[in-house]
Amino acid sequence: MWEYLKQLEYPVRVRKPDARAAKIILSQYGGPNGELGASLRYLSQKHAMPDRRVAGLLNDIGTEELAHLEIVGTLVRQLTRNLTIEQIKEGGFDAYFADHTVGIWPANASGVPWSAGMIQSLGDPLADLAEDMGAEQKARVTYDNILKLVDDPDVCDVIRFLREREIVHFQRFGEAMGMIRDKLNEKNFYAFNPAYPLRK
Amino acid sequence: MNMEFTEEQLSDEIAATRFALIELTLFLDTHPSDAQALQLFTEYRDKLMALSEQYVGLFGPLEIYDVSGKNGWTWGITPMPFEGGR
Repeated sequence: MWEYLKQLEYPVRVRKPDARAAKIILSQYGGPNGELGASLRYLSQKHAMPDRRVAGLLNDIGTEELAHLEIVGTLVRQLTRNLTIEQIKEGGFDAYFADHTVGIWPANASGVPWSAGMIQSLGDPLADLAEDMGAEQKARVTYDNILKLVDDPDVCDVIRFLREREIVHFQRFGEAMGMIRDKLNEKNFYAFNPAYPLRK
Repeated sequence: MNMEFTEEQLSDEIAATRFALIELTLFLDTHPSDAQALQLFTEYRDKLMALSEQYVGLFGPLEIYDVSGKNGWTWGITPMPFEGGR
């Protein structure tokens, strides 16, 4: 279970509204490489993960991704809450505004809603961990792209924090992959699913 | 107790300490026998406990169990972390 902590993992203090930046950053809320997908991917995969240490890692990283979801939502909120109608139109936020005003809704930068089809939970530890490593790299690239498009230091500081976390998570998932591989015997050279069917 | 801390400074200090613990947790998940990391974990844990106690006494609850009842229902009254400055 989870209990709420009244603190962001990293503080968000944006002083200047920016509709254009908000539209781009929203992608890390509900886009294909975003934090909602990351959290649900790991928190779903943990159930079929046969190695307890790796299941624990998925649980802990999945929990941190929920904290990142909150950070991204907070960023978008602070970028949009004081926008004038003129700024919304100039910043290309008008289409989003028509459907959601300045509420926070999980979609990518071009408005495609979040979908479970953006993630996979396959019940095969090597396939799942390979997806997780890919997902961390994809999220890191997305943050790199955001840093090329946004220059407000209040915003970039937070984006850089989130970007660095993707690198650490990638490293940890790589180590978890090694932990699973170490437990395969030599007859399983091609790494067939060591989680199903359950062997006693 | 260091009374020179503003709410923001103390909150940031707690977040930084908690972040060290998050990072050490993930590291220990894949390096459970690393004695140095475990030692650091206990040091940051003690620091977090002390800072949190100080914060809760001055500014209100961080987690639900920090609500003592003495000052009423402070959980829903004190600011939410995602509100940010005005």
